[in-house]
Amino acid sequence: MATVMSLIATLTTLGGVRADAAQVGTAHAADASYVPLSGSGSTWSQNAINAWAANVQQYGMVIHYNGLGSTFGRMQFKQGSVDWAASDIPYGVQDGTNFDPPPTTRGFAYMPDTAGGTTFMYNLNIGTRRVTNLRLSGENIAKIFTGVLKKWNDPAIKKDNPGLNLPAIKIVPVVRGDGSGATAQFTQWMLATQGSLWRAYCTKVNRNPCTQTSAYPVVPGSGMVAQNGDLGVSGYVSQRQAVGTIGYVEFSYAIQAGFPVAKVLNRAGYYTEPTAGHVAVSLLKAQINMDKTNPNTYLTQNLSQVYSNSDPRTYELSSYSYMILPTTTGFGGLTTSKGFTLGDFGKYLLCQGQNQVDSLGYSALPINLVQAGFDQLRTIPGAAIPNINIRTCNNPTFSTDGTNTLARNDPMPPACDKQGPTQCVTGTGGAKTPTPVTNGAGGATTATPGATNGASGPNAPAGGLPLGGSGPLVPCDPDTGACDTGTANAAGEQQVDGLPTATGTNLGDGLEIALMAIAAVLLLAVALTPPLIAQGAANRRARRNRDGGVA
Amino acid sequence: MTRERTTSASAARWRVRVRVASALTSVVAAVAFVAVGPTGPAGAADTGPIDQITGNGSTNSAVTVSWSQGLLDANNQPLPTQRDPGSPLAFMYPDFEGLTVTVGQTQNLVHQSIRVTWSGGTPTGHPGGAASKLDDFLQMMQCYGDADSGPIPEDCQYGSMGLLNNGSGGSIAPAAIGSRTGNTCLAHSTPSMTNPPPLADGSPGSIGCDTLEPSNPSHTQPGQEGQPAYSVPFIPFNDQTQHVYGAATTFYDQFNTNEVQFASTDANGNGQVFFQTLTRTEAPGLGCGAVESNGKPRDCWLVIVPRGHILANGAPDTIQGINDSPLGASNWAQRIQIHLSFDPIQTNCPIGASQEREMSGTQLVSHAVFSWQLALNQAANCKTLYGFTATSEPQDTVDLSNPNGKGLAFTTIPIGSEAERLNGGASAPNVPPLIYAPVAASVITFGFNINQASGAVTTAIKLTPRLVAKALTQSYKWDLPTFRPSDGTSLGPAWAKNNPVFITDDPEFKALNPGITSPASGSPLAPLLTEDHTGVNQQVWQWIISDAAARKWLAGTPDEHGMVVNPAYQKLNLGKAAIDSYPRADPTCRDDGIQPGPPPKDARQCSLDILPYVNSLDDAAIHVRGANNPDLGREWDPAATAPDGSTGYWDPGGIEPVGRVFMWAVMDSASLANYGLIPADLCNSAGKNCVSPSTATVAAALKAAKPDHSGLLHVAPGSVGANAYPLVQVTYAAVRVTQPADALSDFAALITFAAGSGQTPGVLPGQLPHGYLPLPTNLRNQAKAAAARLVADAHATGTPTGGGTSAGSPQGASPGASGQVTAGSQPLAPPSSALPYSTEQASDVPTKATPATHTGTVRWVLLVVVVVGLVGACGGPLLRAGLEGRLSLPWRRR
Repeated sequence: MATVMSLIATLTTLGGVRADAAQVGTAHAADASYVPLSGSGSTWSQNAINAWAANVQQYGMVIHYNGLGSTFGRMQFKQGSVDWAASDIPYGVQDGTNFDPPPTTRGFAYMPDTAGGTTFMYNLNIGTRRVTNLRLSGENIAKIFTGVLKKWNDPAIKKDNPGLNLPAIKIVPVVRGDGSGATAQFTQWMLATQGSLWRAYCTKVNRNPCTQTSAYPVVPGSGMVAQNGDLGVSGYVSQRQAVGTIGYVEFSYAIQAGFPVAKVLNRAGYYTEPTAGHVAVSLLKAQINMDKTNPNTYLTQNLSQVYSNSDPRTYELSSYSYMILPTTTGFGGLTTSKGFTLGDFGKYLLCQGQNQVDSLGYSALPINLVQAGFDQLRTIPGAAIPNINIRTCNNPTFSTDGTNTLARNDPMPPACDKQGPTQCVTGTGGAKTPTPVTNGAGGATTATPGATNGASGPNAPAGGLPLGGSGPLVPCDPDTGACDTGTANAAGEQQVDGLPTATGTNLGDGLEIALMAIAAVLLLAVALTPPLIAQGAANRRARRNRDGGVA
Repeated sequence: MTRERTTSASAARWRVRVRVASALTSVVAAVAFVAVGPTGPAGAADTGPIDQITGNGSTNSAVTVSWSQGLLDANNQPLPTQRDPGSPLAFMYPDFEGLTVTVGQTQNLVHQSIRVTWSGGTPTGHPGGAASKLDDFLQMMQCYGDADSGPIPEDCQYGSMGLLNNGSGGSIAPAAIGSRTGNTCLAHSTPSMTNPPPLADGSPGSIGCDTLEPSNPSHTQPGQEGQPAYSVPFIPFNDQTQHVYGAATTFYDQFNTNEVQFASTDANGNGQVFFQTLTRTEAPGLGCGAVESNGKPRDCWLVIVPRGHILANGAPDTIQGINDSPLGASNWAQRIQIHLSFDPIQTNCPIGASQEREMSGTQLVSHAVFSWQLALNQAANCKTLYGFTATSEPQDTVDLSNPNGKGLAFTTIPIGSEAERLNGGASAPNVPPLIYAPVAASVITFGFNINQASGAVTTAIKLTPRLVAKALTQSYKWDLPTFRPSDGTSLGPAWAKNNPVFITDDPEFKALNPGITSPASGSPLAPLLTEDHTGVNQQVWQWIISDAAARKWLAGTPDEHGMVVNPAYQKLNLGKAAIDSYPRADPTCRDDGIQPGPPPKDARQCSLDILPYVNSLDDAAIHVRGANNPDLGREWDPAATAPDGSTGYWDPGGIEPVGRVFMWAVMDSASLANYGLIPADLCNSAGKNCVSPSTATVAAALKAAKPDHSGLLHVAPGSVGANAYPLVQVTYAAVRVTQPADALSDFAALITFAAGSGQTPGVLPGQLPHGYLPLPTNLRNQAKAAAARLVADAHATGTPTGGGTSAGSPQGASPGASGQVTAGSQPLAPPSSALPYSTEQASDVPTKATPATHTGTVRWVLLVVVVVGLVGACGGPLLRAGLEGRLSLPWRRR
């Protein structure tokens, strides 16, 4: 009790002193008028938004976020049932025959909140070993998600992966079932870079006009699986029984699930994954619409030059996600108090909050977008947004010379990630265990050390250790709960995985057919000869008995 | 303590009176407890002080009040006016007369959960009410109100949309009970049970109306004049001119309100709710705890409106059910009000006051870290701030291994050791030198929200390891996509024919939890789960498989009633080794075929559609509290709007209807306590020796904890002994030794606080929130020693930016470079050369490619074997035939 009292006393005293700190901080009276805010939308950016919402609690701010998908978020903002929304794409993107018109009931502005990569998380084993270093060209990705490629051992995929002998199992694409900005980003990329494949798919699913879309069209009965939210897709792919699946999620979800993502071939001929640095490099080529006179497009992204970025570090499916901010009061219950709170939340996430996103699988926003974001925050009624102070903003991309620190320090991809006969063994995404590779024709292990992959990962060890199936199988004593964590794979017990070979559907060459035929005849003979001989002998005996009466 | 604090919060001239009154109140409360003892709320911990682990209990500022006492004043003393037996509304009284309510804490409140229990109520689903109507329940709300006589309806936060599922067809609980509106009666009419007055527009009186409304001209919403309806506006505390009609989303909405729209009373007349008190930070329209110009925090009220089975105009609820707002004058007159005094709201640091020191790690500590942040921010005068991001175990290893990454991660396992578990013993990464400091002891529990027609369940649910195994393995029929009895054909797979439909049908569950019935229809009853792979999940499985009966059942042996494990899970050998995640392994899907378009759609449901994961333990608890089932829904609705805008989609489950709520989740006890959910007692396989999560049982388990090779303590659930709660986790702050001195100092400050004042139990800023066990002295000392070591390292490192040691490689020379370091009394971990992993070991697994031809020389083996076999087979009979004459073979001669 005494401790509690003294603590309260301490806090009360400190509270009094604190007024000074507030004065040196910002001009307004700290948290005095923060009010709770509700938002909804994108699951792509949800992990970042949740982290920010948790951290601003210490500043007296209550932010609720409901990850229901970008489409739903835009709709709720338009209806006025949320104060703000998060969406991976703006309003007004032509989606088939839907135009998704911007709200007319309330003013709005887009503000980039985080950058990241839409990744292809997959579940593949070779023998008992999980594949963690799959590489895919854009064409193959499009063919997988339009049902053209059906088996993992397809020669087209082999071409991307000369070091892997992929199994002859069915490819199960997992797509988003809800209205999703990730789907929109992905289909926009397909339309731009693999147009003929996407248009052919549009024809197949009767989408006319053929555009990018937020609702992935599924051919009924095709075996393609639809799941709600990034968590639904990653949850589906990560099941042990889901071998053969591949789905698209924000990088964050693959990291959380502990699963690998496909390295995607870029224009420079390198297969890359969306590390924070690679995304930052890629988005240096994003064209941001800076025409302030048109709020419907201001700050929206045109990614066509990202797709064709010739920097070897480029990850083509890099993009920004957005907050949709209200710029008028009244509708949806928006007040200047809410506007003030939202302004400070925006200020937090553009500066300090960008330090939290790397660990989650996102990439921090660069300075030009932070500056533009500050301008957008100023359009919220009630927001108090000071001029941005580069020094105290604490955004990890900021540098003294104006370049993007993340992009500047981002290492080049290792040589083994270049298109060609070698293939890196290093793991990807949330699965850092290396996968041994072979050259396509030979049998030698290409133990290419996996040079530092990305800005933040530790060097992965070269070579590979076996993966005990797709689940954690550390033996534990059920009675004591003590787990054997050390020795299961000591040198004496190394398991060697078979590298499976696709079984052909033909019967083989002449020799093989002849051998099979001979074996079949002989097998029949083994089964039938003894009883026939015995029967014959018995008959002879019977005859003898009848004829001679010998007893 | 509490009494003194209240005194300072009251006007000076009342000081003495308050002191006496509060003391009296406490005595009254104590007496009331004794008085209602036998019929009072059931449950072991119910009448005791607040338990640190579950947050269940009362403080010495608890207040008990009976309905018949009438209203309480701002000192929680009865106001002179009692219930008037001559009131025209006296026909309502019999439903409320016996009601006695106890509020667990009424002073020094912050944003927290307080327990509200009641007894002597009329059971929900009153025998005199209509079978299809749920009547006789309580509604609760927080109000401001500066008058000694208490609040007016305009002062109350109530009426949010989307909290109640009123059931199909609106017959269960009309949505209007969750609103601020109702019907008005014909002017100047009086209520009558024999001849209920009609509505103001002449509609039949059986619909129900309030003869006292509009009790104020402002209760007629502008623009609605002439309608037979009243609407009570919300008026924010700091702007009496503002009248907000309808759902006042400007001030509160379904996501941040604390209103209770339906709390049911069980067959014994008892009930319980954990009510979340809100300060101005969470409820800006009420302003509770806001410091006034006189330096005192604003007080508030808890208003409880009991609802009966007769409408306000005297009509029975057989036609409409109870269908109007608790704010309508007739209903409002029946309220119970309890005065709540708040602690002053702490002033928070402004955003950007300084750079946050970023930390990451297990979500188990998030509630504690938030509390500590508030105190640390103040103590550092906002010059040091901390940020915390909940991350996965592999990400913590990446962060700490990166010389420029985050310097502190909270973890329950040695950093890097997860690689062994995740990858089957493979390739643990090199981890730079770390210091581990214990900061929190958390508890994993199963949090329930069960609210049935028979009342809300308020006592702990009893579970055995095998019951949890059953619930985690999609072995109850309703957890299978292919089971849907409503169409009469989809009765599930053959293997499940002897399995119960719900856990509530399982004889094992029923024997332990009598009185809990199966819901009439609805959603799966499986617990909500997270997708992650963690040591925490593994401990749950360790507990399950520490039980022989659970192991046997997981291996395929049916239980005594013939229930078997889902074969998809049997294949996973779950009883052999504890896994670290919750798989959704059933591969079957229900296929409703292709639904006609345009465009045509696959109507297919698989396991994750009916049992989706949730984002976090906190998210799980929020879903359970809100009875918000995330499943996609089982029925295809041709009229529903699909994501692509076309028609035809699943009819989503959403909020479970009142009276049919059964939700639970695996969660940490901090989330459980924060949201006031019902915990589970964990029993042995015989259903005996059930252990509740409590201060004593968690402390007992911690005593049985054993250190791993890095010195981190682990509770082995199978060997904690009797009266110890098996699912306890110690969280450590793992700090990278090689980092700038100022970072080391900041982390040392956090650890010092966490191991000191931060272990004081309580809900105030800086205290250890409910759900965590205060660390024992030896662990606190260990943490303090670790902090001292960090401070020493910081001094040795020198200036924050200079020095080779801070900028060097993770393996570089540094004070702690000998490997993983655990400070304090624990032995130092072995040096790095003895670590169970290194790149050398990892490099030379022989891997050989399969030859280009499918089989090689092995293809000849079959041929040779068959030839030899033929020779042998023929040889025998031929030999015999040759010898036939000389040997007698009787069995051939039959």
